[in-house]
Amino acid sequence: MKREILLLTGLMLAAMPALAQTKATMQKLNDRWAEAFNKGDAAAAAAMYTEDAYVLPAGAAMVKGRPAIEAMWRENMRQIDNVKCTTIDVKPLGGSAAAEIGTCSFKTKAQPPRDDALKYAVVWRKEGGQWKLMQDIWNSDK
Amino acid sequence: MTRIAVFLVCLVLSTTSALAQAKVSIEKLNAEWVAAFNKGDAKALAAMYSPDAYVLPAGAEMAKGHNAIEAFWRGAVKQFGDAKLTTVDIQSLGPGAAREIGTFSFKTKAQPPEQVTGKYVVVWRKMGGQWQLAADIWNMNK
Repeated sequence: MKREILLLTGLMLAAMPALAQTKATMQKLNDRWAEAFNKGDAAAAAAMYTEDAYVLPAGAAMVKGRPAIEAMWRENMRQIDNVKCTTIDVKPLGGSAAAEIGTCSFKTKAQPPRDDALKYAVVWRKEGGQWKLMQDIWNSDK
Repeated sequence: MTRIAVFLVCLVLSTTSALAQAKVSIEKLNAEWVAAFNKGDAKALAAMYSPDAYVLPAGAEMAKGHNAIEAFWRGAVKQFGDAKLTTVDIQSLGPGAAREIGTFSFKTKAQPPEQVTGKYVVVWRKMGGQWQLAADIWNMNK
């Protein structure tokens, strides 16, 4: 009995960092997303969204679904790189969703390159044990 | 077997109606939000947000909490009026949360007035039986 409890506790502790709606979890996911973006891998960036996710880009019409999201990111990758996103706040919504607020810094690929920043709100949803973005929107302070 | 089927049907019906109820509540609250905005009532607007809500305005820094949100809207209602909100999609995120996507338009109070249009995301949370805006962010298509 004691052993089972220990095992269960161990399992729960092991699962927590990967599954809990914590700032650390979302930061790790953001880092993975930024890595895909900075490599120019639009397919990998799009794969982090749910099948029917919405993206509402600043300065362009909203897009829905992975193929449209991939095309949008591919276009964006031509214009900016050096993306770094920082989680500011995470609110758990029930057991399998979370709202996250954060900021990103990036460099434009113009000559000369320009540093810029944006703030964003995303909603994460757990699908098949993995956190996926079901919605993504951002804007600029200026 | 029949009992399980009946239970499943009831479960599906109750979840469907929870989403339907959330939709009705959110559309009613949007009408209240628009009425408060068009009256220039920043206090009434702020009261519709949760105490720890974030507003991420296009073209201004993020505001957190009732006081900062009220101050932001007080500034905005001086410049804009005639707001309209159109819900595009509402998705349930468990029993106490929902994600709304929509489009908006308002008019500047300049002479001649100019129309501004864009899109928004709101994360709604049900606190003490009342739906409140927990996160509010928007941007323009151009």
